[in-house]
Amino acid sequence: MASWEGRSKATPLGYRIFVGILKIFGLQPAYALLRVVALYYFLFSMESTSHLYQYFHRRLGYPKWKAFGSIYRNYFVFGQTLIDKVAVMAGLRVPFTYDFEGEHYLRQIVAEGKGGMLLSAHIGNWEIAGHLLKRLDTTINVVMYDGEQEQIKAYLESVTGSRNFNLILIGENLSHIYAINEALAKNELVCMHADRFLEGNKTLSATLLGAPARFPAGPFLLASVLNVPVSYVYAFKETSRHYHLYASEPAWYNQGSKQERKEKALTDFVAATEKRIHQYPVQWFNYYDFWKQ
Amino acid sequence: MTNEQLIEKINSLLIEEFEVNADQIIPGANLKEALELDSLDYIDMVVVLEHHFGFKVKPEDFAGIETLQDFYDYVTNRMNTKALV
Repeated sequence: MASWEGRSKATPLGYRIFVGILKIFGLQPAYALLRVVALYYFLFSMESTSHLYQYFHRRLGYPKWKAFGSIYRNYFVFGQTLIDKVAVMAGLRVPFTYDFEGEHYLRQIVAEGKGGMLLSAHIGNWEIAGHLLKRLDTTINVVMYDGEQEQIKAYLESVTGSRNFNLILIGENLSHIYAINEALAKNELVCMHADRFLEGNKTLSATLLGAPARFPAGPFLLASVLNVPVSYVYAFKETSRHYHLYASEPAWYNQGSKQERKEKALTDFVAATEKRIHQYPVQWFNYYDFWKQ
Repeated sequence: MTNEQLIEKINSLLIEEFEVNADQIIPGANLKEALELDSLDYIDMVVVLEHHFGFKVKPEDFAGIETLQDFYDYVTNRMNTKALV
């Protein structure tokens, strides 16, 4: 199955241990323990390791040993981003610094007063970006399929307190229709990941890193029918305490047929994502066969 | 616009906007399956209805719509109510 299965591999116990270390000893000891955990995943999580190997070796053209080294670094950086997320959202005193390239584009969207869509991918650390978007003085709405296990969500919420954003869950009761429309009508920002899909979702195809891949049709359909500006937003970890956020110039997808508008949005998203993958190749966090047709 | 004209307009929108084959347009057909709608497609449906028929759609309106015939009835009822107002 090429689609994401809708569940992460994290366990509540794993989160508890890391949050405990984080609270008592701080960031660096948590990162130190993470080196062991990353090694464990590198050695024993064969399925995700093999998908990562395909990504580094086939898609990015890394030689074997460089690919294996990058897989370990990938697990380690992924763990760091999870720890950073908890640290930031729990309000722990961690002096992260940020560059925010293109922030003025997002302020421009808010100033235009029509709401906007922010599309991102599972690369880098979206949650950190979400935290920083608070300073745009508008409400952030994150649209997602409900993929995390209930007990992990409950535990994280007990640690991090209330969210900095509204969560719009896509479900069978269709309440997301009203929630998305209402958010845009109130000049709020609606954020979605546009790289993963669940079985049963419609998909569109595009070439990413030289090979065809499938993407969820939904985000691009919304970009093409809602008549709001769309920006592609990513956040990457550059050093242990520094993040770099990127927001692209707002694009409107209101010219041509609906199919043309969807395809243009997809093409722009893939180009923006590919550019960032080349900049931050280790921060690719899709642990399944992304290119399987 | 008569009910027949409304149904004709709905059918042409289904073909143009949702790429439904004309031969799939059967009143008894399941709307979600015939149109291959996934959860986010309903937003497109709302936008299309509001744009072409000029009435507001609530998510709960879809609760009672199972077949294409239900959908015709919903749109024609809303349009006839709008005409009375």
